Amino acid sequence: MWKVLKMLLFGGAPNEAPPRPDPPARTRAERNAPVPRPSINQDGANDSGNGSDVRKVTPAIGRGRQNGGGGLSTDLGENLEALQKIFGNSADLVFRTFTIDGLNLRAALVYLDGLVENPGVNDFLLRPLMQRGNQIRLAVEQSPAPGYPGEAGAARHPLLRNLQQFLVINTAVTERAVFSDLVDEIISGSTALLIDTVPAALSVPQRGYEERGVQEPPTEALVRGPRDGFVESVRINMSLLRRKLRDPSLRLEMFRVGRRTNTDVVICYVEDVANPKIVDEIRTRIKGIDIDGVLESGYLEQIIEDHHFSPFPQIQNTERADRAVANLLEGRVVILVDGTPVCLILPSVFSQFYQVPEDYYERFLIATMVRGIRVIALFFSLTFTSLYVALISFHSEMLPTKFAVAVAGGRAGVPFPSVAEAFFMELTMEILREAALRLPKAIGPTVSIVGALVIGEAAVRAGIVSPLMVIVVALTSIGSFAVPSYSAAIALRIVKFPIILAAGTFGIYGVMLAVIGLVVHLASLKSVGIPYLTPFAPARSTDAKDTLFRVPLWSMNRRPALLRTGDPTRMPHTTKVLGDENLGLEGESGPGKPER
Amino acid sequence: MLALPRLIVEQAGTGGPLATLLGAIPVTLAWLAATKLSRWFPGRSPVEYAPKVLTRPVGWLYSGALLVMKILITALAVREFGAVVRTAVLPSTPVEVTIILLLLTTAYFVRYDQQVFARVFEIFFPIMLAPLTTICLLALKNAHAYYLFPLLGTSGLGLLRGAVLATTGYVAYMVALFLLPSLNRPEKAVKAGLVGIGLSTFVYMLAVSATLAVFGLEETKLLVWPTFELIKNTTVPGFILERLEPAFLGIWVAAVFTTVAATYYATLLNIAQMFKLRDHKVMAIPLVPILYIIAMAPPDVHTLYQAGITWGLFGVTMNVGGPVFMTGIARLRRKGATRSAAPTQ
Repeated sequence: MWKVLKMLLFGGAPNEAPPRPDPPARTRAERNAPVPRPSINQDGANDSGNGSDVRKVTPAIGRGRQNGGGGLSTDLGENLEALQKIFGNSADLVFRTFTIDGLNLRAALVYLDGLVENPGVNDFLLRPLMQRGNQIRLAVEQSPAPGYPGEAGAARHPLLRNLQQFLVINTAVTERAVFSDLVDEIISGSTALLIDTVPAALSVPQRGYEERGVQEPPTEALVRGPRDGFVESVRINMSLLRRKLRDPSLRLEMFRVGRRTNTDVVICYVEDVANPKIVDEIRTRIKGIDIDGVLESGYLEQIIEDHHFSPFPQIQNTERADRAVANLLEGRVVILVDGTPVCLILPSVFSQFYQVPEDYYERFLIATMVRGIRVIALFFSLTFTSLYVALISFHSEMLPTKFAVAVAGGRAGVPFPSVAEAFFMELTMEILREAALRLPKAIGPTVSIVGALVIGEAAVRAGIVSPLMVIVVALTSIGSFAVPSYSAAIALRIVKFPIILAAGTFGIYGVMLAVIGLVVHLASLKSVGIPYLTPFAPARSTDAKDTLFRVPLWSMNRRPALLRTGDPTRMPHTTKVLGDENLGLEGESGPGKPER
Repeated sequence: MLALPRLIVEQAGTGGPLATLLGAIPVTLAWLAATKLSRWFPGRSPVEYAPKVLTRPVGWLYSGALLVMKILITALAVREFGAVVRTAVLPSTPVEVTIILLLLTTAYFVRYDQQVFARVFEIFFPIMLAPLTTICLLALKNAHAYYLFPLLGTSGLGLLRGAVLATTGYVAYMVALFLLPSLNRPEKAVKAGLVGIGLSTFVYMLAVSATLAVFGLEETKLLVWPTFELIKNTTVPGFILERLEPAFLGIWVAAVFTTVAATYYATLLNIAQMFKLRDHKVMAIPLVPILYIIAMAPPDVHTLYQAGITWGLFGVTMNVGGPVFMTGIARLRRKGATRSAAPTQ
């Protein structure tokens, strides 16, 4: 208006663009519509599928995008242009313009090809809007039932509300009026429905994209136990948890972490079991993460862990769903990250690094013995080489004479001190192991076995190492494979080297001092407030039932006290089922005698 | 611990075991006194309530004396163990090296807080106890019961002197005095302490009896480290390892480490509380050279043990006499929440 006046008074300058005509007259309904406020915290079931208890919390993080923060305009062309500009003419952004039957309004669907399931979009979005003219007219004239307070995802614009309530058949339909929200939705795989003269859009999720199927995780295979491992989609992972833990108190809280990746991160815990202080602490840490992108749960692990400079992991990770659920039942918190099948479990203590779920599926005697073997393997992988070096360098009087002679014979031609020998062999083992990871599966095992044998044999023949050293180093390496947790195994392998050095310099005294230093370090670690060496250090008899050995399942009545859980009882009384042994099935077989 | 049997037996003769038992009595009394004091002054350590009970300057003197005593005891323990290691296990290593290594490891440890402290001790507790008792029991194979008689020894005065020397073996319990203020359940302190003292007494008596029984009186007096000689004599049938001293010493390192760490930690707490420092970590590293110098002061093993006896007796006076004395004075001067003042139970 002002521009018209200016032109009339001062004359139109040649550079000045002619004023645009006024926008088309609005209908009375549209004029009376309440101005849609920018949606910052619109709760809404965001996706297809079971998301009834997923509350989407959208904190300030994840919004650092330079998209149009403005609201949609009433002109369809402007909106579409704005979307084009935001996505930079992306090759997979699809615009499908059409006319809404019965209303003669132009509308457009905007979605990212490849994220959307096309048949669904066709059937449930395009077809009713393009073909059911009568229904649309009826729908627009009806007044929908008033919403209830706190209704999730209610559309405010009347036309959109009618469409949402009566026409668009989808489990989750929400309204977005701000560009940044709408772009969020489109990027997550929703289809946006924009209508001319409506300054808002409907976001309809109809996702369909390629995903890996649920399989057994290759690094955590068991002989006995379920074979469902997590996959890359956080929705499917949540459903795996749900299926195993059918308790409504299982809470799944979703966050978005990563400024550019906007990765979905879900915190899972069982409400009355997990200690609320631990949960709050974890939640605060996740919320405080400000990072460019989160590609794997390892990113989160490294940021939120307590002691960054310790070689020992304070957060457990696993791909197995049953392991995650078992930890949830003990009061721990599981963190799922979209895009990776590896979930985080915290708080974690040292004793978890030699426990596997199979311990609980087998009977207790067997489980105890196998666990004992694992613990021995753990100590072996740490100290065996160093003890050997200490023995033959400093304390050869400890070996029985015959054995000592054999050792001496083996070492006769070796020019190096045994420390150097041990170092060299261990280093070679580590290099072999790292190389074997990257060999193609077809030749990997063959090359590593043959290579190890050949190298070992050749080295002995050449007189560089003694045969006993090869055996010792091999046993140590095999021992480290027996440790179920990969992160802990690596930590032990790293720590082994200084201990070998200490053994070579100060004999068994050095080994003991190094081990003492290690124990002190472990004792000083904490994982979200829980001391790392529980249940050895703050010794509790209830927790001792499950550390080095495993008592029968029917006597593990209480949850581990280390996590200070609510609801400490697992079973109120021993539920060992004793049956009546005498079923009368002994005696001669044959047609059943008539009962008396 | 390694030399204790000889020291006791030199004085008490075959009454050694009994002297050990008697030596536990003053410690028990001191413990009862100390727990009573800590109840009268809840949340305060001995250094903190000494100026209140005794007057300010006297209290300061007392704390200072405690400090000196602790430094001496720490250095003594370190030096003794360094000597053992060097003699028996690492003959070509100079004793300075073993001492420095132990001091550095302990210095790393004592910089952590009380929780870590307690945890590490909890872990090492069975590791120390098991081998010692096993060795003593295994040694009984070579034992002769008549070496133990007469049970009371030949002179009563010697018995008493031996008991006093036995008490020197308990001086490390002083660190518990500093832990008293931060207990969760102080009412259990008395019992816990008595259990600890009882356990130590049992182990000491076992060691003294075993050495006496295996070697006899005169031989024990000639051995510098009788317990260690016990190990040398022990053979485990069928085991693949023969002379077990290095293995035993390896495990013994843990025991000595806990002792040294305990007294070192007590020293740091003492300093921190006397000079009102922010925390006790600050003086950890500066103390290392001081301890080293004091540890290297005795030129050989014999002067070491003479010094050890003197310092040990000093320690006994401070540790045992101190709390008892202070209880008396506190009662007389009616300081602190005595029973008449407030019902603390």
